[in-house]
Amino acid sequence: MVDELLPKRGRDWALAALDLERLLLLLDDDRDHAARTYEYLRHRTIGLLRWWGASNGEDLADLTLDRVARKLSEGAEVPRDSVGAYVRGVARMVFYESRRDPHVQADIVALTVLPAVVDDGESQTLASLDRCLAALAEAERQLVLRYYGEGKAKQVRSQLAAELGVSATALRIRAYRLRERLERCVEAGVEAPR
Amino acid sequence: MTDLELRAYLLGHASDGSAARLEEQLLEDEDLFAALRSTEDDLFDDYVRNRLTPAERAQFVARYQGGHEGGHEGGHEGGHEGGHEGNSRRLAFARALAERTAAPATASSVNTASPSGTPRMGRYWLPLAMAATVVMAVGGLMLSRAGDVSPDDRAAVSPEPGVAATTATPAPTPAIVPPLVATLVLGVSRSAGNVAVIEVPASTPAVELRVRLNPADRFAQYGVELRSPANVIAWRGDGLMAVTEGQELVLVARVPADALTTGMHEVSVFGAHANATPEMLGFVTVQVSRIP
Repeated sequence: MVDELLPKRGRDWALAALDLERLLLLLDDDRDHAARTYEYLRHRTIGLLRWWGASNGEDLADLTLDRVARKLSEGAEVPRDSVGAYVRGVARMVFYESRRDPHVQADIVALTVLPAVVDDGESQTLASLDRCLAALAEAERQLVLRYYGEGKAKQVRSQLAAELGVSATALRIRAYRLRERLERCVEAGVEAPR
Repeated sequence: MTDLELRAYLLGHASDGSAARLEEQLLEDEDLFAALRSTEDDLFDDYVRNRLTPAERAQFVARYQGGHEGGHEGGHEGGHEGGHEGNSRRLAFARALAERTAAPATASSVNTASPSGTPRMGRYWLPLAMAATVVMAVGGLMLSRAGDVSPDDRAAVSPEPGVAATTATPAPTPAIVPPLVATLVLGVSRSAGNVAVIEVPASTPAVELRVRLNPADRFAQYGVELRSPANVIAWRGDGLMAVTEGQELVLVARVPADALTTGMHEVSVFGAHANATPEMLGFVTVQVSRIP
């Protein structure tokens, strides 16, 4: 599992493997748990980079974690409870460096001058959403439609949480996960309509 | 971390310090990350349902649809899904979800696959299917820059000024039935004299205004303002994007039918580039008739 986390480009593979081991050790004493933690961390780093405006968040996240691992190997001391702050700091550096990269700049410019024109695919999206909703279990479908439905969201969601016997936070995360699934399903359906 | 704080971060008006703290936390806390994403989903929903304040709409547009840097520190052009394309997909999804959850009896009428695997139509489509699709071509003067449009082209969309060509066609149980579609051509001034007539049945949830733009009028975003017979803003849409249809550039604005009352309305259309003053593109007068 750890082998899958190794960077596929750049530095020497064996050296990178050693660096990665140090990072994994920092994340968790249990190796397998550390690998899962790494994947979550990578996912969130991608999200952060994209919030900042990176169009190549995955590549930059890999660069970030690769660099964090290397700095650990070089002797950087990072307390376990400061991993987030440390990774964020490195991610910012990587992000700013990427903006100075002429290739990335070209990408940003291309985005900037894109005309505000979108495909007229709303009906296709709606049809795909219907298919994806239909594929959900009834309870999940009801949850999505009520959670994201019209009306006063706060009241509707409080009532829904009470009915399900879960906290508002748990309900929110459950709804978010379902929506993520739906979005992926809709996207796949729009790209390859049945 | 409250929902308000998460929204403030996403809309780019959190302080640099609090944004940095949040970012550090979310790198360590999967639940916080999910909460932020969930709040972002709500923002997309609020945007497409016109539930954001004008200031929030402007921030949302700058953050998710603008092609410029914004927000704090690193700028916010891309959004989580990776740039314009990802945000467009999320907007399309949010619109579809809004449409689906807005339909009557939504929870019980989501299509379920038939044994053959072909989706069945829910019952709630029937009123929409019965509502005719009305396409109106309204005569009017083209914008001063409309010299780019060929006379043939102009004739095709602009019959006699003030005369509305109305065609009602029953929808043959398609997957999606547009509630009501009105195609408009802008005039260069309020006194240009072109009047569109729109008959809005009571069952119609919304009117889709399709405003043909001068192809030269390409802006990052567009806005549409609808003034009621009482000369108050009955509806306003910001951050809209144009659609290319063949050689045409068309701005689509979906106006809730509730915003329309019987009487004369004025539709104003403006375009804006990021961080620039909006430019008025034209007007068209619309005579609305609500049909019980």
